[in-house]
Amino acid sequence: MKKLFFPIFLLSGVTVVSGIRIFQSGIGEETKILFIAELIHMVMIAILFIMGIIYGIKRIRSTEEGLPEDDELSKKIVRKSAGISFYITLFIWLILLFIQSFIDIDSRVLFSFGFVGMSLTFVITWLITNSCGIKDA
Amino acid sequence: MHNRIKELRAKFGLTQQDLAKKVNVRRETIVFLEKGKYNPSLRLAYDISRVFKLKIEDVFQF
Repeated sequence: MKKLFFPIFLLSGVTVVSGIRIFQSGIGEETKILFIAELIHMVMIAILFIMGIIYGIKRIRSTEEGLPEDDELSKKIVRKSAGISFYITLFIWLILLFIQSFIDIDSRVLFSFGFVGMSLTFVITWLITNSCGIKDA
Repeated sequence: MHNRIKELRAKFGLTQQDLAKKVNVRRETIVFLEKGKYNPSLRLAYDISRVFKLKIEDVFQF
C-alpha cells in the first residue's frame, strides 16, 4: 500500500501547494483575469483529486479481491504515460516561458501553472493510454 | 495478435477474476487481453497457456 499512497500524495501535494500559492498571490489583486486563473486552477486540482480517489479506490478493491495492485500492464501504462507526458510538458514549459516574456507574471504563478499542467498532462495521458491499451509494447 | 482466452475461459468455466487470480494479474489485464488491446509478455502468455493446459501457440496466434 505504500507504493499506492506515495504517488497520490505527491501528486495531490504538489497541486494543492501550488494552488494555495496562487490563491495567496491573488489576494489583494482584484483583477478579473487572475480570478479566472485561480478558478481554473482550483477546478484542475479538484479533477486531479477526484481522479486520485477513483484510482485509489479501484486499487484497494483489487487488493480486497485478492488480485495484485500492480501488474505488467499497469506498469507499462504508467511508463508509457510518463514518457509521453514528459515530452508534452517540455512544450508546456516552453509556452509558459514564452508567455512570461510578453506578460508580467509572478514566477510563483508561473511555476504553479507549470506543475498543475504537468500533473494534468500525466493524468490525461494515463487515462488515454489506459483506455486505448498498449499493443506495441 | 489474436488469442482464444475468452473462448477457453468459457470452456473451463472461469470468470475473468478467476483467471486473473490464477496468473496473478489484475482483472483489467484479462479484459485488455480479450479485447486485443494488449499483447502479453512471454511469461504471462506462458502462465495463461498453462492454466488452459495448452501450448502458447494454441492460445495466442499471430
